[in-house]
Parts: sequence; C-alpha cells; structure tokens
Amino acid sequence: MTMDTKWFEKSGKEGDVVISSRIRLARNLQKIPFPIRMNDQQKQQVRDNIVQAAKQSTNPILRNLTYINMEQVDKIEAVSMVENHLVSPDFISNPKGRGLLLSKDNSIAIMINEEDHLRIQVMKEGMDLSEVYQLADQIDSVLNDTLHFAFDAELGYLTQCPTNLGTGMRASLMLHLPSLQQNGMIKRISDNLSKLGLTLRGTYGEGTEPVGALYQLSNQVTLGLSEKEAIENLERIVMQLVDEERNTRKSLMENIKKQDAVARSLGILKNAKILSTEEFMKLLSNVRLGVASGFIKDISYETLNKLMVQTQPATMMTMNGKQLSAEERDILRASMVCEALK
Amino acid sequence: MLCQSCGKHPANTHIKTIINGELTEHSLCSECAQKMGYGNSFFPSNTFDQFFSSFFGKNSLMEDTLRCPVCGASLSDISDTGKVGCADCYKTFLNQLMPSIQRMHGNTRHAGKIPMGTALQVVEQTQEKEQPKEKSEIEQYQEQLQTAIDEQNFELAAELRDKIKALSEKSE
Ligand SMILES: [Zn+2]
Ligand SMILES: [Zn+2]
Repeated sequence: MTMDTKWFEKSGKEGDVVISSRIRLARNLQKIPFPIRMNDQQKQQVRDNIVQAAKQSTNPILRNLTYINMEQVDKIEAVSMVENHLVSPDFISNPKGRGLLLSKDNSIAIMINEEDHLRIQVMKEGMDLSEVYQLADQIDSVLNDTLHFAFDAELGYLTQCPTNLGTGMRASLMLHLPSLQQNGMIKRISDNLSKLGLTLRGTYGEGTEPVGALYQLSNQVTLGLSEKEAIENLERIVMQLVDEERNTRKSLMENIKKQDAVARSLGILKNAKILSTEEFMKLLSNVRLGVASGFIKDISYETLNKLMVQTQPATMMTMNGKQLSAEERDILRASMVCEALK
Repeated sequence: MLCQSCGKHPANTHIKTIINGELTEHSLCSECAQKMGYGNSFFPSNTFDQFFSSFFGKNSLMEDTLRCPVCGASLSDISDTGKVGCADCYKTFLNQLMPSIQRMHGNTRHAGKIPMGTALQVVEQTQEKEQPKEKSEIEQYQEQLQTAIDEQNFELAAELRDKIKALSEKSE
C-alpha cells in the first residue's frame, strides 16, 4: 500500500452527517457458471480474464489498478481491507480463486469471484452518488467491451442472486445519526424506509443501536428502475434524513447534559491511556457531534474519519506490521488518538 | 442450530462480520435477519420457503428432470440456496423464478443501462409485445397469489398457481 491519501480519510459534501458514498455494480460473464457453481479451475480462468481485461485496457484508470491475489493476502491484512470498506466479510472468508483490483487512493475496488464474477465498487467521501456512479458506469462500459457481461433485455444484468437483477446496482451512503439514535427514532425511520425500497443497517454491530451511531442506507430494488432514478430517489430521501438528524441535533445539544457528555468524551479521548474499539467509537461519535454543532472548534472531520479507520484492530496490526494483543492494541489506540487530537 | 438473536427459531441465514479484528459468523433465523436488514428477501419467510418447495414440490417431475444445460443446476438447487447457478438458468427456469422476482422487485422489466454489443436473450421480445393482455392477466393472478400466500390460504394459492402455469405455458 502506498502513502496516497485514501478516500476514507477525507470528508466531503454534507460531511456532518454523510461520511461516504458507494456504488457497487454486480456483473457476470456469459456461459460460465456463477461463483456458487464454479470449480477452482473456472474461478482462476475468470479471474485471469478479468485481470487481463483491466491490464490490457486502453483506459488509464483500469490499466493503473493494482491486482491483488486474495490467496496471497494474510488474514490480518484481509480483515483490514474489510475495516477500510474495500471488500465484504464474505469475500475474505474464502480467498480461493478470488482477486481484487484496487486503485491507489482505494476509491475503486473490483472484487473478483465474490457473489458475482465482478463487483465493481467506487467509493468517495461525503455525499456524491452521481459522480461515484459516473465512474462506476465508465469502468463497467470499458470492461464490457472485452468481457461481454451477461445481460437480458427483460431482466437486465443477470446476477447470482435474483435480488440484484436489473441494474445490478447497490448505491449506499454511510451516515452518522447520533441524535436520531439517542432519541430512539431509528426503528420507525427504518420501517418507513423499507416501505420505500431502502434498507438502513448498522455499519458496526447490528440492531438499532450500532456502535458509533454509524449506519448504511442503500437501495433494495434493482429491477424496473433506472440507475438515475434509484440514485435520485436515494438522494432525495437521504436529504430528508439529514435534515431530520440536523434538527434533532440542535435541540439535543441545547441540553447541558449532552454538552457535558460531548466535552467529557473529548477529554477522555485526549487523555486516555487505554481505549477499546467500542469505547473509542462511542466517544468519537460524541466528538463528531460536538464538531458538527460547533461546540468543538479545532478538530476536522478528516481527522476523525482517518482515526476511525486507522484505529480499527486489524488495520493497526497491518500498519505496524505485527501481531498485537487486545491490550497492546488498546494502549496503541489511545496513544494514536491522543497524538491526533493534540 | 437456533437463531443467535432470538434463540427461538432455527437459524438459516449466516452473516459474516468483523468483530475486534476477527472474522465472525452470526447465525440468524430469517425473521431476525430481516429485522436487521440482512434478509434474503428473495425467499423471505419460512412460510414462503415451504410454499416454494411444495409449489415446485419434490413430487414434481420437472424438479428432478429439468437441469440447466450450462451449469447443471436444478430448481431445488436454486430454491435451497436462493442463488441461481448461471446466466442461462434464468432462461431454463424463467417461469418458475418469475413470481419470486416480481415479489422481490415489484417489477419484472429492466429499465436501466443497456450494454453495447450482443446481449443474451432470455425472453423473446417480439412475443412479449404481441401479448400484453395475457401478461397482465398473469400479473393479476400473481398478485392474488401473493396475497393468498401472505394469508396462508394455500388452497387458493394452489388454484392460482395452476392458472398462472396454464397461462404461461400458453404464451410459450
Ligand atoms: Zn431469530
Ligand atoms: Zn445454469
């Protein structure tokens, strides 16, 4: 990995609530079984074909992607890739025949032989689904020239799971919703969203109280709706959610107890000598809320976003190049946080 | 194995997550998985699972004999996993998959990007255009079928299933 600034270390549009945007396109080659029915030889063949298509492309974006054979990635580094939102947990659970094409800033990550032959992912900080889609669309078109994806006029792109038929597109936004979570509004919102064909799910941990109040909002329906419609629909609804979160924050932050909790959280983060992931994520959520409401002035979202990724357990071990016990990690985390917030 | 969330229903959805730097697997029942936003919404509830298997049941001849010529998958391979074997499976099992696809998406016609070059044809487009009436009739039955399944009225569902089958065979 290089020293280029990664997309997840930045902050973008509507950055007080929207942490990042992601588009994922499911694509498959014709006349070859989907991964669930492929043998090892077929997996290798498909992987070779896809890597070759990228490497021999006239498009510089594709040609410059780094190829990673997942069979040669050690377990901790693989987990770190999940922590950095580059690949799915499923993808690293069985590396056989799997590969990854990755851009230097990690904003493009093409998973090979995950649930489909290709999962083209493009990610960016803040809310910018349209721009992210444009790039994903371009990559898809270029690869299709040589790979000829399985497509049907009626059913659209043909995918291993019928839930992805049609556009094969999953658009998602990572959101920070501490106020809606604290006021117990997530359940109602998520029920309403599911009626609109959208899913709201915790990023870290399940249920309605995920750690750090981080959520993933994404579209469910892929058939009968164009990419543009699905993205516009998602953006329209997320802006309502963003407004709701901002309004709730205002009234929540008028409460002296919440102000106290925010100030104390910063105090602990700046001074603690031992920090578990969970405690850190909870305190970070409060500090982020403090920055968003203007109570904390000299800390940027970039600093917080960067810390959030760099202090994840496997990422810390990968960056330090060694195994660390849970206690060693908690000590290292505290010193990294202290240094970054000085 | 019982669901790790409610501890009541059998677990049939396995979700991999990262906890404290380690890959872990949660086993959940479909209900809890759905609640957490992880549902395999293609075959969402146990009721539907049961219905699906009796629909194209183990006694159905087609179930045993019909296999996808490209990947060799049978209909029970697909309904057991919720995953389709290859692109051509959609051609082979189109009529059987269509009700679930419609239930999942509410639509059955792609409205997005069309790639350049040759595309694999699952549905003959010309046929489609000549028979709009029949299509909507099937759609009506499929809606009624869904309601019948939701209400667990299997007798009515079986009747509707036969009607849909007859209609879709006629249109072939
Ligand atoms: Zn359960
Ligand atoms: Zn097949």
